[in-house]
Amino acid sequence: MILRFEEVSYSYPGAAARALDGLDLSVDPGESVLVAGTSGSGKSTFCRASIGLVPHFHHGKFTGRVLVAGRDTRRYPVHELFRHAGLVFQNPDAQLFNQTVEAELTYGLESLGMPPSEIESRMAWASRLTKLDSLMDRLPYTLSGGEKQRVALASILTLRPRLLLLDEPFTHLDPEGADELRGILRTMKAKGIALVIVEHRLHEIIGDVDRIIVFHRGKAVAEGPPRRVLSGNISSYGLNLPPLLRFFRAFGLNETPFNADEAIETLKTQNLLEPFFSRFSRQMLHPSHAPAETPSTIVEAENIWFNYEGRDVLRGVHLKLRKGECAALLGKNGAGKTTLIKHLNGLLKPQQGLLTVLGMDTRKNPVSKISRHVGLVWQNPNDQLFRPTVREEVLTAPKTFRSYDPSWCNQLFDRFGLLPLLDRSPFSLSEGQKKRVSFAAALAVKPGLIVLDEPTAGQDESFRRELTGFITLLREEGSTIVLATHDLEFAAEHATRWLVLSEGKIIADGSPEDVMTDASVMAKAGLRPTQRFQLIQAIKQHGKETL
Amino acid sequence: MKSSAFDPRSKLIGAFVGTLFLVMFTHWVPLAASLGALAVMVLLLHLGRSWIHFLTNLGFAVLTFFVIVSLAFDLLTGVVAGLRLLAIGTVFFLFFQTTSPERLSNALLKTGLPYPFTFVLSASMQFVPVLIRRARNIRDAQRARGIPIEGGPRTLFHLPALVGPLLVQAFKFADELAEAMEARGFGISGRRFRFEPRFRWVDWMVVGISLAVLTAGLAMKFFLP
Amino acid sequence: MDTRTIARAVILVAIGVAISPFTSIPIGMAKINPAQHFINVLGAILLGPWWATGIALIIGILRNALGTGTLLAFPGGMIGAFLAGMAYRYTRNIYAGALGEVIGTGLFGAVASALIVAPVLMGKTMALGALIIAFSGSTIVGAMIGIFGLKLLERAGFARLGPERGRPPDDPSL
Ligand SMILES: Nc1ncnc2c1ncn2[C@@H]1O[C@H](COP(=O)(O)OP(=O)(O)OP(=O)(O)O)[C@@H](O)[C@H]1O
Ligand SMILES: Nc1ncnc2c1ncn2[C@@H]1O[C@H](COP(=O)(O)OP(=O)(O)OP(=O)(O)O)[C@@H](O)[C@H]1O
Ligand SMILES: [Mg+2]
Ligand SMILES: [Mg+2]
Repeated sequence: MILRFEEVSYSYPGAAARALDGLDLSVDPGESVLVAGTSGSGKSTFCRASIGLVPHFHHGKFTGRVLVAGRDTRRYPVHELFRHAGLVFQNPDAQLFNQTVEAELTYGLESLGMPPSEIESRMAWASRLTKLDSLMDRLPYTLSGGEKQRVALASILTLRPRLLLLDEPFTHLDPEGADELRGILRTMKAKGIALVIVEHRLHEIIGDVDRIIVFHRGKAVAEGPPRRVLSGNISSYGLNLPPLLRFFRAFGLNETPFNADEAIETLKTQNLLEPFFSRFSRQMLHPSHAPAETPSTIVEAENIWFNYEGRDVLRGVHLKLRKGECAALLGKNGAGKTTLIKHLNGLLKPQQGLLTVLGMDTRKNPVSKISRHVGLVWQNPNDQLFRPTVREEVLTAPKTFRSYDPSWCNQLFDRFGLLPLLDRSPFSLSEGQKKRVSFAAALAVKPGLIVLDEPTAGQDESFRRELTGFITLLREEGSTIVLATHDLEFAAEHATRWLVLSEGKIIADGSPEDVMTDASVMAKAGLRPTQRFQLIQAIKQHGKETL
Repeated sequence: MKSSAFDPRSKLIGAFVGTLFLVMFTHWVPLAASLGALAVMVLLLHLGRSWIHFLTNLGFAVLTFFVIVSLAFDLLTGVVAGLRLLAIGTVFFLFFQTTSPERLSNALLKTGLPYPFTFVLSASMQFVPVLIRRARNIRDAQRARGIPIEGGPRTLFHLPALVGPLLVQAFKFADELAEAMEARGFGISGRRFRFEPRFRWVDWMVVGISLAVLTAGLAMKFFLP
Repeated sequence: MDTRTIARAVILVAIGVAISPFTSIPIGMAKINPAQHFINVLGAILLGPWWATGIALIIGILRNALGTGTLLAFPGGMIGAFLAGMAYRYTRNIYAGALGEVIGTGLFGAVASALIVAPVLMGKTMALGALIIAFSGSTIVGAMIGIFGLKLLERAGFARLGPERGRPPDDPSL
């Protein structure tokens, strides 16, 4: 046994509730385990406890026993344990503190006082495994998000731990990056390293793990092989189930297919292909939101160009959005999604071309005028919080724009469940609550256009469900919505239109189905068809074959 | 940033001797000549562009200095003060441009400074661009809701909107950084560096030349009329 | 050796260097930049006088390395940071700390610059008044933002001000 938790309870200093509450589990050498659970269920705390950061770094009240490769974490300091168990944290930026990628990889080995020859050989091994050879001389901050993640991983791998924990490694990766990471994890497993992967979006990795452990309020409430756990009664733990599984459940099937082929097989053997398909196509014939008759144009971009310090990011973007549409902006990491979004309220001005938002030329109007009508919800709610109370935070924009409408704001407070929190400090809220505050703050000015940057990143199922509610509501009121995301399942569910950004241009614009059908676009933008789409295609294919 | 063949310690000695040397002169001719020599060095090291950038930064201080001193004393003293500030600034410009904070911190560690201090020196550099990006994001997020943080005197009243979110994020970030450091063995004793800075014969030469120049300067100052 | 303190020092230095371009405010002909002073107040109160002085020194080194700072910044910043740290250590009052910074930089820093830097540069002492005025504007604004920042960090649970040192509550390493 490489890792063992025995009746571990823990609470952070000053916290009333326990983050871990009688946690009991073990991980065998060479095994791969997926840890799932809602936000705040204790997953990150479990990771910290596995390498001794809890209790040594965080202090607080700790009872029970954690054994890492047989060593009791209470008796060994973190710098004894780190050579046995490695942890890759959630935020790659905070983990890279050396001058070059190479220095990053060798830091841990220098800590151990290894001789140079050993350092060289381990570094070569880890960089080959994580495909970093060509990046060794780069400065960490110049790397893309996916590359940073790989460096963080490699810097732990050089220590050759027998147990590796990864805290939400897929969150900020584009689909291509996620594929790459899965490949690396498979290699590591083949080398006999035990893996513990924490993730909200189960379908990212579920096909590759031996076991799932479900966390709920600091306890391990379900565990076992993925199929067994997922077919059990887990509905109350708020997991974000793989999409295929959700369709099957909605259809009343209790099977657990992890990919389209398995799903087809199951349906075939049960002779359910026909009814399943007809229900699917019925859903598709009635798109839930048909656009209004002759809607007015909200955003019109004609050939806009933009560069940062001479490097072109947007290279001739054409775009037209009509009232009431919900468009998803997709593309690889660094494709320019956030850059384009910042154009929509005039924060960035096109260096060439013309952009009209709600009838205003963004080059001729100041940000303060445009953003009065455009609500931008940033990925990180902490980018704006600084007021003493939630109420003041939400009312900042309407008050500075002198467009304060008390009845509308009260309605927002109510709708976002903020009424009991109004006098609290925004900093005392959970991340999910902060996100709701930033939503309310963006909507408080009654914007005609609402823009969301990566709304689902790092969020759990209950937040996704809330978000679904907000978006439906906004659309019923006729708002226009743009969302930039890597979460294709979410984009396919909510957007009527997909805009694919690649090499500075919009290379595809159409319904999600149309875009996913175009294999060359998908390949160019590094996108992967959603499971639901794959299933439909497979069923259609199958229909053709049997005819 | 250029790397150079010399150990930062010898260069530091050189820079201090250079400063002392510049301080000894109270006439504008030798100062202008030294500045010329320094400019040649800058050009030889292909640092012209960043030097001009540096001068635009220092320019304001030099000008203020020149004006104040000229008013308080006379024009010639003002010229001397301005030239001297420019020359000393350039000496340290050269030092810092040819010495990366990492190498400097390694060398300082060798001279006996505690590791936490030298670590802060080398690590903080990596986070400057990261924090600049965050600060930009925050500024954009606040501008999007009507708070003008765009430069200009009005910014003064809106600084809390920028500084507040940045600080809170930075302290969270610091905790994450601390965890990551511990997870890679920060704080263990017996750390061994892959590249140790070495004081070689070229470095002894730099020290030797510096001392010779200093002696010559002192001799000139005290024994020549 | 407390890793968290060291990590905070790293980040404070990085903020000090990073936000200078954002906080440079033209007022009439002059320019003020409260960044360094604001970091001094935070460092002094949260990490103590020695770390604060070290942070001011390192910010000076890095800004010189990046070509955005001048030698004049060294004595002013370091004295202010140290004095602010000492003032807080003996009074446990953040306003006293901030006042330490204002006096340290605006008065002692200016005197030090005048006594050390100025004669070195000109061979003659120069009018103190000009330097004091030049230093004070930035340091007063910086100290005020520092106080604001401290209160914010306290609300966010990152600092505990007053009788005990600036650490989260219930921290047994106190
Ligand atoms: N550094 C900390 N100090 C105090 N409390 C904390 C700290 N980190 C987490 N907590 C609290 O401990 C509980 C468990 O949090 P944890 O971060 O382990 O959850 P998680 O499952 O990783 O959630 P998420 O999916 O959002 O990452 C939560 O109630 C959280 O508020
Ligand atoms: N302020 C900036 N200065 C210089 N370059 C920048 C800046 N902001 C972004 N970039 C660069 O512009 C490109 C596009 O960045 P952008 O953030 O728009 O991408 P994105 O599609 O939102 O990526 P992600 O999916 O990772 O969020 C990237 O290569 C990025 O490094
Ligand atoms: Mg977590
Ligand atoms: Mg983005």
